[in-house]
Amino acid sequence: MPVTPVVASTEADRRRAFDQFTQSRLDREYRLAAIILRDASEAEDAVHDAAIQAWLHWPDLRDQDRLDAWFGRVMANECRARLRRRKIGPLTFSEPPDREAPDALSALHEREVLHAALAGLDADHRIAVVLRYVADLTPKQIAARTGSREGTVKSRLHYALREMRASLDAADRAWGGRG
Amino acid sequence: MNDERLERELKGALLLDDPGQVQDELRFAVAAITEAPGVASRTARRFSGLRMAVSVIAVVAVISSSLALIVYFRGGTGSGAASSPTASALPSSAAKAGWMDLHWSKPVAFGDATVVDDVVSWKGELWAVGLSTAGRAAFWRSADGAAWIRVTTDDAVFAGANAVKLLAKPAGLVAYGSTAKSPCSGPNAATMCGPDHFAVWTSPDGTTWTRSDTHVFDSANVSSLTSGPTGLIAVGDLSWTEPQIWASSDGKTWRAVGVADGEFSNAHFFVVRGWSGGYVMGGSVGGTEPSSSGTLSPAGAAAAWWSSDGRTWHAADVNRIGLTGVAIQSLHVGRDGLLAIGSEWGGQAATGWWSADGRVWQTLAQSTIMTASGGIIPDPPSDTVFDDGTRMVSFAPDGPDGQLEGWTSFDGKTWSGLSFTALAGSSLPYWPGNASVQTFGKAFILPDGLLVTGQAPGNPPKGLAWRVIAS
Repeated sequence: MPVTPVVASTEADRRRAFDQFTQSRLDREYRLAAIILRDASEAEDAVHDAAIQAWLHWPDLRDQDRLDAWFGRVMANECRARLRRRKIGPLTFSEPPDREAPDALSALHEREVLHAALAGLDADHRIAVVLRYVADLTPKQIAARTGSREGTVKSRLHYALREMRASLDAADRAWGGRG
Repeated sequence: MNDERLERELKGALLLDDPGQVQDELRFAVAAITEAPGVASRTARRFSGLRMAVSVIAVVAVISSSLALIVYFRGGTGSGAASSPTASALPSSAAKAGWMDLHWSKPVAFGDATVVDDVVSWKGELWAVGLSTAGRAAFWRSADGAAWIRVTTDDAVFAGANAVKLLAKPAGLVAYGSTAKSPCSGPNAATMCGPDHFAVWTSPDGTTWTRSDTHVFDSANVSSLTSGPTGLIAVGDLSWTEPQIWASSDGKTWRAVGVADGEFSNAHFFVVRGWSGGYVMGGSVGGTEPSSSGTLSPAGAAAAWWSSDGRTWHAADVNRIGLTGVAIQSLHVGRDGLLAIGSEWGGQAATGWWSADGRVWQTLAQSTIMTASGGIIPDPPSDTVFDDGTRMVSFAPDGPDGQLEGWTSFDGKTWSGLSFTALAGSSLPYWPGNASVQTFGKAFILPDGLLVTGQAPGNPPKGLAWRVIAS
């Protein structure tokens, strides 16, 4: 039977509960962190440091239902801090092939364009986009995870999508201009 | 581009950075957080790890690998036990995901053992149980896997008994096997034998052992015992038509668990295994009782059950299409799934199943299970697959001369081959069957590789151990 922090009365119980909790969430949090940070190694660091934070605060956590949201917020903060320490590079677009592209190649190029454009988003926008389109969280859930208002999340998503569309339009013009 | 397509493409672009599943190193590092007296951030550890690596290179240049092993084992608690939470204390370098090559050390004598039946990691040392050259149940301990010391025990506690398995628990060790009492008795003793008389022993320190009260096992055939999230679970039967489950929190006192008819109609329990998700049990349903002479009758169908707590059990969904007369006889736990191996009565063909959670079992391709069971059907099949709750390793003979080959897997579905390197002075074991060469016995998974046991020729044969470092 899983041991919850609520009923974990001994040190061994607390360790077991922490272990069960973190191990069951490692895969998901690691993948999300890696996509947010675009660096698997740094994602490992982020998850580990977040888990340390969770363990240090474990005795204070009494509400099992809020554990997930709490840990998610720790993870989001870790990623945000790491992104902000980085120098965000300018948007770059790969050169289109020097020939008329078939559909598949065009689609691949579009994805590359989006990939590069996503790298140009600031930390809060990138986190919102990843949580929305990879983790499939609702704006309300994203708000709970990031400590933001729901309206702010919606605004970030709207802005991010607008940026992505603009990037694609620019790339399309570049394709058209080659002909 | 409409919004829907934009969102789809956006998701695809984001997933270009998807790294897949988390690596073992991180899993162990997170599990180690609760063990460390002062936890340090991973970034800081990485830096200190680099400095340590430089030091280790210098040290290794002048110190033999066996001495390094001693340092390693004394430094960590280690864990070879399945699903052990203490795996967290393992060095991260040992938790690398991929094993490709096994470096075999020179074999060493395993104390005064003739057979080594089981090895567990407990309190920073390796503990083994088996049979001494004098024919007695015996225990050995080792700090490094290279030098084994016989543990002095009270011979009266184990007089005439066989202890064949060890379980490492925080409160001590649990051993089980059979008593000295002959299972063959009565007017037909020459041809009719009952089951061995099951026995359990516990020890707080590995030296002082006490035989548990096992009256609940009287007249029972106990086929398997495991440790899991809520304690120890044993399975077997009181007769062909009376399957039974027993439970204990500490190995000292045991009680029968109610077996509901609905879930266990015509059930036969062969194996039980604890894992992080609870317990899984394998066996068969239906069929007719085999005779004691060993002539096995057509059996029913493979079956499995699962439980979260060891008390309430549910029938699992097992794919039996095209299978008759097959029973699940071994269960293995990997990081990415569970593997069940079964064989026909008589053992002519193996079948494998894979499950993510023990509730639904899918049959594996024959080529998979041929690898997992080593291409042959030993009896029981579990003799060729070993696991520690994260990794599975399988050994088998490569051709008629009995040279070993091996594979490793995290899920039991996908196996990758292992190459072998014999270090100076080493000679690899051969598959059992040739009495004139040293032979393979069992493999026990350690954080950085394996401890392989075997035998050197002799009368009686002498126990051997190889430390095998994976890279």
